[in-house]
Amino acid sequence: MYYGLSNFYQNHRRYVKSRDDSQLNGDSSALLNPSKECEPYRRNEDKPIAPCGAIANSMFNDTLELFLVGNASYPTLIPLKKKGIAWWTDKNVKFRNPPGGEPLAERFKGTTKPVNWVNPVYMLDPDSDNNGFINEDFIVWMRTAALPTFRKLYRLIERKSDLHPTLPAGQYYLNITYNYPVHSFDGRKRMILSTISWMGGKNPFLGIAYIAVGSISFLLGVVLLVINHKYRNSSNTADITI
Amino acid sequence: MERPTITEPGPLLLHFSSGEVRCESPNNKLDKFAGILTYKGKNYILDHDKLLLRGCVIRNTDWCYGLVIYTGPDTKLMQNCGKSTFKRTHIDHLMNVLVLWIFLFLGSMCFILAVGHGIWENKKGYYFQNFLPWKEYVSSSVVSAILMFWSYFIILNTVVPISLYVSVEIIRLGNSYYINWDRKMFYAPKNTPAQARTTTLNEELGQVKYVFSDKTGTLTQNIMIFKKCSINGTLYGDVYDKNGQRVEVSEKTEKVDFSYNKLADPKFSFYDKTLVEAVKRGDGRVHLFFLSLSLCHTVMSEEKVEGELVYQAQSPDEGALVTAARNFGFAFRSRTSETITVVEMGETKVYQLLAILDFDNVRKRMSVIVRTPEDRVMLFCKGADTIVCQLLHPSCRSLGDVTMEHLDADRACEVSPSLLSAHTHVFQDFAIEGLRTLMVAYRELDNAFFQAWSKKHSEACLSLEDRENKISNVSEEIEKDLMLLGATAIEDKLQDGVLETIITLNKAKIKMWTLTGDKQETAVNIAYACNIFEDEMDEIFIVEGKDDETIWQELRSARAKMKPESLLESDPVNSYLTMKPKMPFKIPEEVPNGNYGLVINGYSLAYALEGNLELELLRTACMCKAVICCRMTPLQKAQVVELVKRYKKVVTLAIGDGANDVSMIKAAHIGIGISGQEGMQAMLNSDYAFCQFHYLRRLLLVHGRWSYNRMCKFLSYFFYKNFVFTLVHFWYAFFSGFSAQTVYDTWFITFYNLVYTSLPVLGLSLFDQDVNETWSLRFPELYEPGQHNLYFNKKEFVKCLVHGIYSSFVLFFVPMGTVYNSVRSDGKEISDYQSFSLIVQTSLLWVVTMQIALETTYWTMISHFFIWGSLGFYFCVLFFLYSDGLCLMFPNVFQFLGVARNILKLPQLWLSLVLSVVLCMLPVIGYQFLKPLFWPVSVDKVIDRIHHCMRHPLPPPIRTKVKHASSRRSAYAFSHKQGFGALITSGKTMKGKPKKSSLLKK
Repeated sequence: MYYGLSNFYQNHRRYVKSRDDSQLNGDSSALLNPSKECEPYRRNEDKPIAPCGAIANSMFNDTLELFLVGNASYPTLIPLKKKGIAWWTDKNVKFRNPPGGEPLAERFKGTTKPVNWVNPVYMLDPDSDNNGFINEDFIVWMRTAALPTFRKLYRLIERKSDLHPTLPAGQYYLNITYNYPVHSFDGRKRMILSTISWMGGKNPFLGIAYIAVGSISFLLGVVLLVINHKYRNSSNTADITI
Repeated sequence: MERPTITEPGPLLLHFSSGEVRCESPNNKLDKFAGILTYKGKNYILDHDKLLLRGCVIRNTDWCYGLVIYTGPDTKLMQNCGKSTFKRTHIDHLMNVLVLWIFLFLGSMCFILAVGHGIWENKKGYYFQNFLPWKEYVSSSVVSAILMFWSYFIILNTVVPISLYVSVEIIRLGNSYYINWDRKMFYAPKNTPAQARTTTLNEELGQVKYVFSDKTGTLTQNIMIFKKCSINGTLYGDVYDKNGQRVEVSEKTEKVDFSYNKLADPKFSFYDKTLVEAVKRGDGRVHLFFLSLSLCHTVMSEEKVEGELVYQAQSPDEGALVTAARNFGFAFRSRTSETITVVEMGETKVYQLLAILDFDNVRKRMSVIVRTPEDRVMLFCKGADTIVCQLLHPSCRSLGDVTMEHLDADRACEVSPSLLSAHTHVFQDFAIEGLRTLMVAYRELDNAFFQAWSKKHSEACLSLEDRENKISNVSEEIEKDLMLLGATAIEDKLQDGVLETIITLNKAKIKMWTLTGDKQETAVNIAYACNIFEDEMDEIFIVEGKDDETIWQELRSARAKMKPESLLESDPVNSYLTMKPKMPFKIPEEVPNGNYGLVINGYSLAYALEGNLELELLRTACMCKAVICCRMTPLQKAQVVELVKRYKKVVTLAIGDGANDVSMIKAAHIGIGISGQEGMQAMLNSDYAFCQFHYLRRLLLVHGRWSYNRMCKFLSYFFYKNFVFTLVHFWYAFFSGFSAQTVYDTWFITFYNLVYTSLPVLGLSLFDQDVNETWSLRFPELYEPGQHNLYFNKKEFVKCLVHGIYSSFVLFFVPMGTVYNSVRSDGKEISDYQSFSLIVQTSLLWVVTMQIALETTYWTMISHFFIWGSLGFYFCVLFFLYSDGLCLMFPNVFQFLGVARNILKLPQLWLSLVLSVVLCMLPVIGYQFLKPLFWPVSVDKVIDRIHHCMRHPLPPPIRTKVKHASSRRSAYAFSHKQGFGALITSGKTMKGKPKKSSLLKK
């Protein structure tokens, strides 16, 4: 399950820069003194923001819930797996909580939450392995998109067994807790369900392009062959002598 | 130093403090000087004869007094040197223009993007402030746009190839070293390699259209060799084997043994034994022949060690003749003003010198009158065949014919076929072999007749008016009814390989102009000898007018013959010239209807170079295949070069060896100095220096051509590479809110030009050769594209630009299509910015690498290593830069943690990469294939032919013999100037010390 945003310029230069990777890596000095790149989301009320910067500040915070409207009167909630959506390297190497044995709230002491956020960073998820900077939703968001229309992995719907389809045919019901404003900049939100094959998701571009280029090359080859036969004889090289 | 020499120093001695010299201000006229020396109230006139030019050597003089008149830059020689200008190549100029173009292109791109940004901020960014507020100092989208203009200027500045200049210098340096290292341009006898004294002109060596060459010391060795002679109708000098076949003289050929003669010069070599036998036999005619050679000259001899004679001759021709006589047993030993001592076959005889009728250009002959020890009065004369023939006694007519036949074989065949059959061999024609000939004759005079004549002669000598004319008239009275002795043939030895070199250069459509200070006859003779002029030429025009009008007429009539329509009003050049454009303009190449040559005299040239005649001269001269300018001053040489440089869009090359060539070497685009006998001046002012003229062929056709081709390939590739690299940002701007976001990782931007792509392109431009040296030399036609600058010009640059735009388009949109909405096999999306960067930069590197692989025609281990090594190195650097350790150490500097690991294993990346490479290569391959078919250049055929030959090796080419001449021309080319006949007879220089005589030699 993906969420998609369009007209959202995550690739704007000022936006892309507006983060502090040291802070995200758990560096305690950077935690309390974030990089200048984060301006204007560097400090709030004299306290350093954790995580700082425009990217973090604008984190997607809608909640999507998928229900199967079966024959039963009340819909069943489809279980969505929220771990395993970020790159392994990101989750385990690049993003780290500030060091220390204390609870997360203690470790983030002295910082404040980003302006737009409802909860501070150490309250993103009750699961301690998915909280703070290593929250996977956060990590996915922090991996900025290359294009203004993008999708990001939101949850995984796991196939239970080969016999049962992952999402059986039927009516579904999507419950959206709407927190994230996109109207102001004429943005669009989408929810995308995609089945994954060995080649990844559906993207016909490469296939079409290959067929097109292949046929062009073939045509060109034939044309050149004909031309070659026709012209090579006429432009023979007999008039050059040693 | 230039000083007036005072021939009678006695009274002056060294108390000069009271004297005064007034002379003209420093100027460049070599043949004029005016000054007055005031000393002790007396005025002495100082003229040109009393001036020694800087660099002159005084021979046979133990001491003399002199006064320095001009020093340093004021000397006439330095005044003639011309200005030293910093030489830059056409490509340099073009590069500057192109860089300017690129700046404009950059500016316009930035402007477009800034406008785009303004619109974007207005339409979208303003509303996006919720998530991305504007900076506090940005008050409106206009301000933002202005800032963005400069941001883009910084990001896109990679289109301006700053490293280009550095790389160009490296390439030039490399190619210069090739010249220095070339063993085939190393002259072993002098242990001198070729030397590229400048590193900036290499590629221009591949574009030369006009070669201006000096003659003496450059084309010729300035060594005269007594090669053959014809005595009393018998030809000596050729060597025959036992079967009567003529043998080419080589080093192995046995030399004639002169050991019987103690005075023989060991350096002299002669191969025909029959002549020595004739001398030993005591053949009267032969003796007389050599006697006349040993008497009739103005050579001075020096005998410091008994038996070792050193001759000081004013012209090397004379020296050669006297040396020949000496070796055959008629050694000229010494002379005083009244006597000549000759050792005749070991027997010393003293001849009384009665008169010397000296040489001049009109008379073309010289005579001496001597009284022999037997008290006979004899006149010996030597001179041009055409002149002497007319002076012969009627009884010599038949002998004259035979001798003329020796001078000219073809005519002999026409006149008397029986003569040909009578001899078992074919006559070798002196003229055709480029030998300089003189006829030798004598006359025995009646004592009374001589006395009468002598009176007339001394009267003429003393007359004040019209003296020269009178003397020449008197001389003519006595120089008649001559008895012919024979003819001599002296070889003005060409440098090795001159002939082949000039033939090759001709084939490469390089025009050869010979600029020499020598006389017309000498120059033309050498021009024929080394094939600058061919006998197949339709006509050779000679311009020798002495005023504007005549010269104009001569030039016009020459042009009327070569290309009649060029005189019409409707001719494009004429109509262009009548418009009188103020801007400097170039005259296009005009094609005449045949092969023509032009000979022009220094005197006429002085007029022709002035005012409106210079265009006439240029147009006429440039239509000719070869031009010879004789009697040139150093400055005129430079003026001629400048003239061509100014009005023709061509590269000129000047080659010379002496100080008098310095100005021309400096003036030409490329100056080449031959380090020969004439000192270092030319070499020190040259751009390239080597020892032998024939190295020029290799320098131009091999090194020049390679340098040019490499430079052109390098430039087109370098521009292309930067365009592709940078323009991707341009496309990305449309998707990133024109926010100056770069597509690549900052480290990639830093390393792209510096590390990833620098070595392959350097490898290409240092080692590439489209055809190897053998083929380059065998097909001089390959040289032509350089002359027309076909491989890199503005058109080619635009092609690079278009190609770059196309490739960058592919390189942006193919990865974009690939990542757009696509995910990995585990569902994680790959459309993030960092993955996208990686895909684009990897594809980019593959594309430019494949492009260079496509352009490389000569694969060596080094190019493989550079090209594939760079690509491999890229991946190593990639993994290093994106490694955990480095990124964790500096998280804010290296932000691409793990991207390489995650993305490089994706099939999407590799598929998109292959697609990009194929799409970028297809048009190039197609174009390269179609180009020779639809837009063939002459070279394509040659290259085709070469490829054909490589596949089917031909037997080595049969050396076609250089065709010999068919027309009659006089081979008379005595390099003698008006000599010191007067000086000798006056006896001035021999007072007191007859052995030591001072000669002023320039």
